[in-house]
Amino acid sequence: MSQSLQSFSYRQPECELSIQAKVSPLSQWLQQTILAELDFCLRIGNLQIKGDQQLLQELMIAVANYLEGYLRWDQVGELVSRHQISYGRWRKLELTTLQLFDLHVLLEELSGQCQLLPQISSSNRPVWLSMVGILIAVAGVGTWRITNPETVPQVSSGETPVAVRSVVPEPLPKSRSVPPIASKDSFDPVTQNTPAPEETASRISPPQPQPLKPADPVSKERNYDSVPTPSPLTSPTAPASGEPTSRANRNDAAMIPEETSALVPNQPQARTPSVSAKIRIVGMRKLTPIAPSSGEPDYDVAIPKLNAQLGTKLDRQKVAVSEAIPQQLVLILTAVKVANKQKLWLRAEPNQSNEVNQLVSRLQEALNKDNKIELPAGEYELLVQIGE
Amino acid sequence: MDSPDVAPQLQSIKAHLDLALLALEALTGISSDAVLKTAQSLGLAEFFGDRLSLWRIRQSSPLRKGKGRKNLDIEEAQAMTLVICSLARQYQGKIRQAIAKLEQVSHHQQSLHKEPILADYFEQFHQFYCERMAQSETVSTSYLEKLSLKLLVDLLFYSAPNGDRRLWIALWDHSLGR
Repeated sequence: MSQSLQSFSYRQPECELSIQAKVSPLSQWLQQTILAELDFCLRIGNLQIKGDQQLLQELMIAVANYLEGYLRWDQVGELVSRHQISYGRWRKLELTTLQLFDLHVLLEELSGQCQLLPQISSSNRPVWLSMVGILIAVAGVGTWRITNPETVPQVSSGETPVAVRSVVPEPLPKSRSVPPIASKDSFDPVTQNTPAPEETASRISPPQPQPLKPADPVSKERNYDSVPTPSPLTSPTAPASGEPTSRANRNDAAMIPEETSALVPNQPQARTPSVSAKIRIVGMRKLTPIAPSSGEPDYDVAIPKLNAQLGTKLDRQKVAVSEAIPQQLVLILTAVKVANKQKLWLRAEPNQSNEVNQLVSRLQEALNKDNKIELPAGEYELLVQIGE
Repeated sequence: MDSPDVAPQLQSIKAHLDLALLALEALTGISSDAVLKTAQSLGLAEFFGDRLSLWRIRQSSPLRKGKGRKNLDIEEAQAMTLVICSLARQYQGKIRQAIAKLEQVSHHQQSLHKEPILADYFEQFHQFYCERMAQSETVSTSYLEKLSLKLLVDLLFYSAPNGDRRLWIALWDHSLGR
């Protein structure tokens, strides 16, 4: 599989990363450099860190997660002059702001150019677990196009994982107007889930006086009054009570796996061995008002294209999932045109776990690669299926 | 017009974008024309055709003085995001220079007014803020100092290759009170 050892180096004013790795022959198929058996040496100021692929990946995750929190605008407080980043096992890195910035740019550059082939060994070979029935509920005004999950390519069992923490699994009302998507029997290509007439609006409409709440991924004014009390089946890793923070906590479930309540597992407290997962977009709809010049995309074309784009990276990439896997995630995709080139920005809903945010970063990296997806400008809600 | 579903968020987004641009102006001294030129180079002239349209978009910030506030639609917010990040990239050298000095003064626990680049930046930021924002007299100098420094550090990260997405996410996080 892997061939000769090659060296790569990345430089920013405050840091330098040298990599020695084997370039996988897979690279020619994926039009991207696939690295395996990697060793690295990172120099930041007087500091030098040496390690293997796993350590580098842990560092990448740690930096991305730290930045996510650091750049948050919840308050204007005292300025942090030293940034302490924990990564790996009890390792800590103390950086100045410029060092943090340069390390961030350098790691983004690396992940944009290269892909790391998962390491497979008998000791860390991922264990395939059956999927647990956890979902994120989605509902509302607008048109969801659901695509057939069967069409998505499989990933190999040797893949490793970005950990994804479970959202609260709770039994959600099943009397919703949008059909469940987790049941394979109910799946049919795009045309099957014909939305109710009031859901076909291509623009966001004001909330309708109906039991189904408007799908509003961004509104501060979500009404959680009718959120059911978490059930005894709630995952121990999820908040047991308190204000719900994700769609999963809402009772406006639109897509409910039939087997949800039956499959909520007895989960251990500690994270169990990771499993591989494949990730694909199964539903998509437009959220924002459409500019006069832009229209609805052809979802039958857009969803497979997006999945193909993600597949170039993610289906072959380490995607770690913890024992409690969210089966579905709702992500917001923003399509903008800049200098006649399309940009796609992906974000998770607020208050997701670090693992989910990291997963979104990886999806974003995949979207950044040679993006040929043309979408009319606007905001889209994506329903992402994560699983076997 | 704002969509009914996103309007509350755009209130904060408007302020955030305007402040980020204000920080850039304070640090680099860029003019409206430079902003328009950047918008044009990004193919965003339809949003920023002239100084008046730029002023009207910025005037949409709820913090601003004046009446007849314009609504900001999401495409305009996206266009502003792209322009700010492009400008931050253009002036990354200056931003880095300011951050390096900020680290120095922080390390030695000195006043930021000891460093001309920081002193000028803050003075300019303070002046712009008081000239343009309503109720600026109720905002303390120490708060403005923290705000200006937070914006300065943010600008550094917005100048990164993926900075526009980062700013876009920060805008929504902020507006959701995350």
